[in-house]
Amino acid sequence: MKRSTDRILTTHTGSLPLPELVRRGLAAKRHGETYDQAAHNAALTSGIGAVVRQQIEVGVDIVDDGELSKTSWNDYVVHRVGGLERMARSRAHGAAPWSVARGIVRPRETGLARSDIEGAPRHFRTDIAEFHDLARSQSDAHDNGGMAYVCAGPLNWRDFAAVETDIARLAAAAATEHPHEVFMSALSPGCFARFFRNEYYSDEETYLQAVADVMRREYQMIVAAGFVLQLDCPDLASGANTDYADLSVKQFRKVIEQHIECLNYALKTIPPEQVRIHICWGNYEGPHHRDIALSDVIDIVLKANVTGITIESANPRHGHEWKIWQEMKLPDGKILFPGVIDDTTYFIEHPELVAERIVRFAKLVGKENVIACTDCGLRHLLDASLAFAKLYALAEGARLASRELWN
Amino acid sequence: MKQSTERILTTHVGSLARSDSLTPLLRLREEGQPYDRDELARVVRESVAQVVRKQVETGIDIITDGEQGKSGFFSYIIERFNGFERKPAAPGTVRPRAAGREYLSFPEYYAWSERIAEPFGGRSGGRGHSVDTCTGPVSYRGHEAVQADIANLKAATKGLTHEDVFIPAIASSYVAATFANEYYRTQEEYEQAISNAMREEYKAIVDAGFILQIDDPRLVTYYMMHPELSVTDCRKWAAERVDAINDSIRGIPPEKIRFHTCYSIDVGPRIHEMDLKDIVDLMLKINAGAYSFEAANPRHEHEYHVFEQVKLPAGKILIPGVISHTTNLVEHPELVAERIVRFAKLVGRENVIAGADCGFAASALRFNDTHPSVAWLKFSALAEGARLATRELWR
Repeated sequence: MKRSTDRILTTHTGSLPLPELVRRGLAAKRHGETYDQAAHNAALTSGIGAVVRQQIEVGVDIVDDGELSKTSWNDYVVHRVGGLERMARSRAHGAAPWSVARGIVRPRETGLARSDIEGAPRHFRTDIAEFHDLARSQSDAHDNGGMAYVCAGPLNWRDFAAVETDIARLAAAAATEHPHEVFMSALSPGCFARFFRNEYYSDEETYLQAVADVMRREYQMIVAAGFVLQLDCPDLASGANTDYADLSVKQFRKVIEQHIECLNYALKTIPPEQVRIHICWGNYEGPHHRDIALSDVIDIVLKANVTGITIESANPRHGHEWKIWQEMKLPDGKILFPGVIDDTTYFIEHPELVAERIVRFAKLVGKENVIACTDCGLRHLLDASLAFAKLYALAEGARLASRELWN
Repeated sequence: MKQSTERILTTHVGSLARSDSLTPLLRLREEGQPYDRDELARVVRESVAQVVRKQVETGIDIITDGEQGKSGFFSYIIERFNGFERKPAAPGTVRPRAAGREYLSFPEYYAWSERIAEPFGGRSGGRGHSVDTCTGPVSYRGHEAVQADIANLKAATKGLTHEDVFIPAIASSYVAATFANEYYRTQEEYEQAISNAMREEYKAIVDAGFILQIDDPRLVTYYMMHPELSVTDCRKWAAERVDAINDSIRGIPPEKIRFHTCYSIDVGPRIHEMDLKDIVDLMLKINAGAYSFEAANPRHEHEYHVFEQVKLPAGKILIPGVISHTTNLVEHPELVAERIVRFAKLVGRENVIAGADCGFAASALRFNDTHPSVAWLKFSALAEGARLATRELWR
């Protein structure tokens, strides 16, 4: 994994706005409708070439394919992994949110009545639930037309070729465009288990292990291609006010301890310096006042056997958490990827603000241990011009910060 | 005007969401339809009482009526002037903002932004279909209206703990720059006439013992709205407006006045805005005791650095925005505290009052980006952040 040795490097967390043709294909795929696969594939190949070029043009150093081939960062696996079964959400989740269904009964102090939680849809968010009309006005990007998936049989790869195709497309684009470095994101085992309830394996531990054993193949393949592997782990933070909303902080910590163990098990054959994990509190413009504090989970996050850690740090709910590095030491060898661009707002950050945010982290953990990143994915931004304008502000801010830090 | 002598005081910019019972009545009045005046007066009175109580409960020290009786921070004024006539907009007229740098740079974004706001009243309220035009001598006729504002606020604040009360009023220069003049020979005469009329509202507010807040977004948005002009051109224009504002408040003690400016566009890329460094010296020439401006959003948060170079004149107070009206994310109190402390360290803790970037419902009838109930959570975060900052600054 490249480091900021002589200047602050830049990257983002993965998803970028979709070209229109690709968007329509993915929508059809998600709803199980037919679409012109050949045209879709052609649009993907040219789209990924373009998106790699655009990232380089605006000054992103560590680039990816914008996750263009994926319906979303998490449910892309349902089209690739066997053993998951599509069913009506009400059946998949019963009358209670997942963590209640899993037999954990003591409600966390959320200020919500149990009746607010029971019967809530998947991705129920405690902060938004307090404002019912706000909840209505926010579209749920994860909505699969009222459908959800559960694990109903042995997990295995149904379409590993899809992974290979992703890698081949990105490798081809990189061979032409020569980025500084390439990354590719994949779903972490903890998030896999969080999103797809187990109805097949004897217990949660066996399930997590099975998930890790299957997903490892994707992880290895990405790393073998010479890419940095990014494992998306919002379960470590956003899980606290969604699927695990009824857990106490202590109980939640136990769950994510288990997820980290599973992550390390999945990565056992992979060099840590080829891996970064992404932590966030959910990519949506809600109040977020129920978010768990980074200080409540960071010690567990740091147990991940990986070099890079990307953490949401730019938005108004988490913009102050750089301060935890005043008390806490970033373990040797690790690289911090703080979010310095807030993807929940259409503002284009002023480059001087971006620089200020970078410099704060650099002064605390060392400039060579900081890579400037976005809070979360940019796919939901209205159009590519805004996403790339924000990435340009990121690069410009990194230049200003580099000037200050290497003067 | 109270100062943060022992702790960081809190305030906001003025407007707060109108209730579901109030909005339809305000709409009828705004559209010139018949409505029940007594009913409107009653609902406004109750609404003011409610928002005042909530401000006190959430920990706001310098409070206001939430502009409950006004349909907008600016559109209210036309009801209070003689000399104006509402004319249908000429066919093909675009809103001035649409001819500005931002809309020209991001046409697709702003078209989408207008579109999504449409079902909720749009971003321009009822205006756009008609233009208020000066067709006769301008004079003030809002005496009764402003006295009602004052009486409602006096009744609502009675017995409730607070540090100060303020009432916003639009800058006369803003009115002159926005409404077309077909009557006065020169723009100077027109501006002077509005200034003289507007003074009556200003004086009424101050005479009632309240702090007068002069709202003038145009001072900084002129640059964004005039792509053909340079920063230097806009500074020249702004310097004249500062003189006009000072003329309109002549004789009123500065410590009775606070000045607010902002960038009009709520959410957007906003890359074409006048930098604070290019306007701060002019703003500080306004004869006010305090200055409220945007400092809590990703385009302006870094501008506290301006006060590393600019010395705040003695006796002046800054009211930087430390919470934003443009996002539903509730600022973390520790971030709020950090923002306050940054300013306090540069200009002195006693010269900082924690504020908001802009109003949470600048227009009663149009779409606002922050959900009304989230705004109250933000006020709590503001108060909590001020407490944290106070602990750090007075230890």
